[in-house]
Amino acid sequence: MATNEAYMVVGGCGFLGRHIVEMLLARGEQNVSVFDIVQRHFDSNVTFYIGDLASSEDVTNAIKKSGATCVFHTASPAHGAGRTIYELVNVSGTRNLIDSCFDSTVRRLVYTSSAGTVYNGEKDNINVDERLDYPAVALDAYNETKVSAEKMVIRANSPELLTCAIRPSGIFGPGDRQMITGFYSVVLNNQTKFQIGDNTNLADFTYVTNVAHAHLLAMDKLADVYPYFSFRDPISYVDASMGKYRIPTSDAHPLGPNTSPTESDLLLAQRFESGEQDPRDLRPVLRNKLDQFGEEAQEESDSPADGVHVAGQVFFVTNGEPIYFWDFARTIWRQLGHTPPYIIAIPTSIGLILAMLAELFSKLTRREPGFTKFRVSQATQQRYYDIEKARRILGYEPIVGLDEGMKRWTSWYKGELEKQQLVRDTEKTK
Amino acid sequence: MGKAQKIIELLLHPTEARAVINYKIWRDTRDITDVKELPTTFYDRPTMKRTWDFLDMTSRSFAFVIKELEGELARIVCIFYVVLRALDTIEDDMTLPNSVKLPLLRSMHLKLHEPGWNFDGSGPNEADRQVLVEFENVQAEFALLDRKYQLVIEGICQKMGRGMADFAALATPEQPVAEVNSIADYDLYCHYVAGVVGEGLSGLFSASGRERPWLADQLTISNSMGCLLQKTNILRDVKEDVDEGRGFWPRAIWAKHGFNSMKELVDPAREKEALFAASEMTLDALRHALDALDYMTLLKCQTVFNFVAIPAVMAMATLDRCFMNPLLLKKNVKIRRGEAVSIVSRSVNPRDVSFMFKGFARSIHSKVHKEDPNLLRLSVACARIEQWSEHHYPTFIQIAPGQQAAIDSGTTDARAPMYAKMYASLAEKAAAEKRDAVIADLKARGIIKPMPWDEMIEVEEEDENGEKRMVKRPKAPRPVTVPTEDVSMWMLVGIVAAVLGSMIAMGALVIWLVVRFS
Repeated sequence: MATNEAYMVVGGCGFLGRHIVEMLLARGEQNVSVFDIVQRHFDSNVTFYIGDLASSEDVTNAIKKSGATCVFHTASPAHGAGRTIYELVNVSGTRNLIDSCFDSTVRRLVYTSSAGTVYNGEKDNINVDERLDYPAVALDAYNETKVSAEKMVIRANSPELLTCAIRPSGIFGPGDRQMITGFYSVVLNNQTKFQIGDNTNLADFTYVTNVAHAHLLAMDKLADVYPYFSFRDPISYVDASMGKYRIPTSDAHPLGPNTSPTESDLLLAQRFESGEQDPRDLRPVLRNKLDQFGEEAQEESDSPADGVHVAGQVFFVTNGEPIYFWDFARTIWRQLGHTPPYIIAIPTSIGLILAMLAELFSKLTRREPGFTKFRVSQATQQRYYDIEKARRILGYEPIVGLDEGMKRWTSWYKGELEKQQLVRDTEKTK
Repeated sequence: MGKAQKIIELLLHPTEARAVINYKIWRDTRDITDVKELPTTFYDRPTMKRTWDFLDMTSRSFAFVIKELEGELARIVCIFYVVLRALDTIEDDMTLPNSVKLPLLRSMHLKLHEPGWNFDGSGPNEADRQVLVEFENVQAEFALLDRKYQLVIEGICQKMGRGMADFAALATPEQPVAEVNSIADYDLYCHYVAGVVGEGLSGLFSASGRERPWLADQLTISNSMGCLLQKTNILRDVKEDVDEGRGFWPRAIWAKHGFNSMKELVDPAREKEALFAASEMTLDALRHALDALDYMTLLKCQTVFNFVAIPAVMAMATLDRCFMNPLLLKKNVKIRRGEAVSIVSRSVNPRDVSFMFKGFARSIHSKVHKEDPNLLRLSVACARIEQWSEHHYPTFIQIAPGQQAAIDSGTTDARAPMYAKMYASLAEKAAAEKRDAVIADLKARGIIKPMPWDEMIEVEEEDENGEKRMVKRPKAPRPVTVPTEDVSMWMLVGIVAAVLGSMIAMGALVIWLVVRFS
């Protein structure tokens, strides 16, 4: 449902930004603008502003001309761009944007941060929540600048400009040009039979539409307060891929093979179909003192105005379905048409040694390293998150399950590969 | 299984052998025949003695955990179990025509109020027919129960009987046993034969006062607990059921793997497809694991917890043992006795139970075939159990028997330093409160004399606006140093020692409380 606000998506031609634009249009928004360094999409109902985020003048002009009231900041350099670019876009660019927002009609700003901001490369992120501090030493220059940007955005939160940050983990989906390429290159190199580690580490991946959905929820709710008493309400488990099955009970169940139902039986069946549930049947929320919301849940206020403000917060956003890393990889490969004949498991320690050797070799030959310690860490460490905060305070639920999302992703990529093949065939014919 | 073979099997699994030895030596099993227990077990009453005999006769696995329930609960659950076993015996009986079976199932709850009623029409080969032949004993015991227990038992008996009758009515002469078609039908069948048992047990626990009153209202997770056990049994018993012409696997699962009937599942030539179908059955059962874990965290009575946890962990162990196991299609796969004993001795608190669930989930995951059509869903199903466990009981918090909780210094968990800070903060806060309380108490008892600077008087004072107001000021200025002649050295030492002791004790108590009740 349209809100009649004026939206600006910074980085709107990028992977995530494009999905946000499409979602805004899909719900009928009339006033959507995009600011990006290059234009890749040409919608008649979207105003494009081409400029450089690192240029204060470009940003200010675009913001003012668009008359935007709500800004999504999704722009970010690709991994591998180097520290200088990271600093220019993530730090200077974000500062420019915040300054321009304050000097204009903008009242809300949602920033795309990263779950990598709390990952230091050495520790396992096991079901971590938003309380975890930034690491003393950032994993790399990219995440260091993302941390700086996130801090700027949250610090800017004020009555004049409401802000929050979304920390997605492992974004995948149509339009992705980084993750899928990496996985496909393993197929091309005939290396799918190798597994590093014992595949007991969990990782969170997030389908891009769900990340976009979280951004819109955050924008819409920036002025809201989540009441303390709601922390005692139960929320069900994420079932996006597992399927939604309601457990039949004596209070609500289908007729099944009952051929002569009584009025009472019909009532039970109707209750089951409608999803109506007796409040007494809702399981209580059990929290201890160390729980993320242990204190909030203890507050005794019954007023909806007493609670946690959405603005000024950071939120982890995932599919809510952590998966064993190599199962994710194998599912991609299988959907791309490849199943390894057998699997060779390499212990993590040996994998790290091999990665060091590969990096050394790359340095000597001045080639881009494909097999790095970072990649080994990615493939063997636990990295999954507790998204209760986003589910409660934003009302976020993954719309597309991991299962469905991966199918859409690989289908899209197979289409891309076919296009590339067609181009090559055409050139061969010339 | 011969004794020698049992010994050999134990020797092949040394940790399990140790578990059996520990169990025999240290476990203090409740003896329901003991004179001290008679006021609650009524083993000396002929009708109740006979009912206990029926329990032993019909259930080797459940009999043990039922007898362990404290107070009168054991007897009540025993009666509940035997009543439902009678119902199940009627349902199972293939020799009974529907014209007899269906009315009997639907009216069984009324027989509970008919003194002397019994039924001798069961087939001669029906294993538990004796329960029905001598049902008057069970009825007599039911009649002696408190009304609050009777209401639960007869209510469940009615619901189960009607549900069983509905499904049994699907059977026709051409198709002697009804088939389960969709997953929804499968869930409904499991609700009728097992889910309502979960509801009934929750009702009995609440009625007895040993569990919270609202546990009886937790219908969904009570049902899910029952479904987990039932679906595990249906998976495990596939060979036995097929041989007897029964089928409970939903068509929605086996049909998609290319089978036209359940009989074909045990065809050796199609073992791979059958195992993938079994894999999907396991996936469906795992759907209930989180509900089971949630249910167990709600329990507060130790023997009730044991009673619920032991079958649940046994079910997870069975799912693990059956997973991608070709033997599943050839015989009834059972968990080893040593493993069972180990589970019994470890199923004493939600933390250890969740660790066992996680262990079985990981084991199942490690056996997923790379070509399994449900690879991704199985991965997610196992992962969510692991996430549940890490959310509620982080692995890096170690609890050794007799010691306070500690954070594993070798952990790679990013949360550990944060938790350590929180623990320290909680302990410090509690210690400060304790210290203040101790000092206040010492003053009140005259051990410490109040000092002149402790007395407050009101004096008139002008503020910067020229207005006069009353403010509190010390009667005398506080000296820079404490005069040594007013406080003895030993008193100071005593106070310091008491405060330090309180800090340590309070810190330990806080940690224990956090871990014990989290």
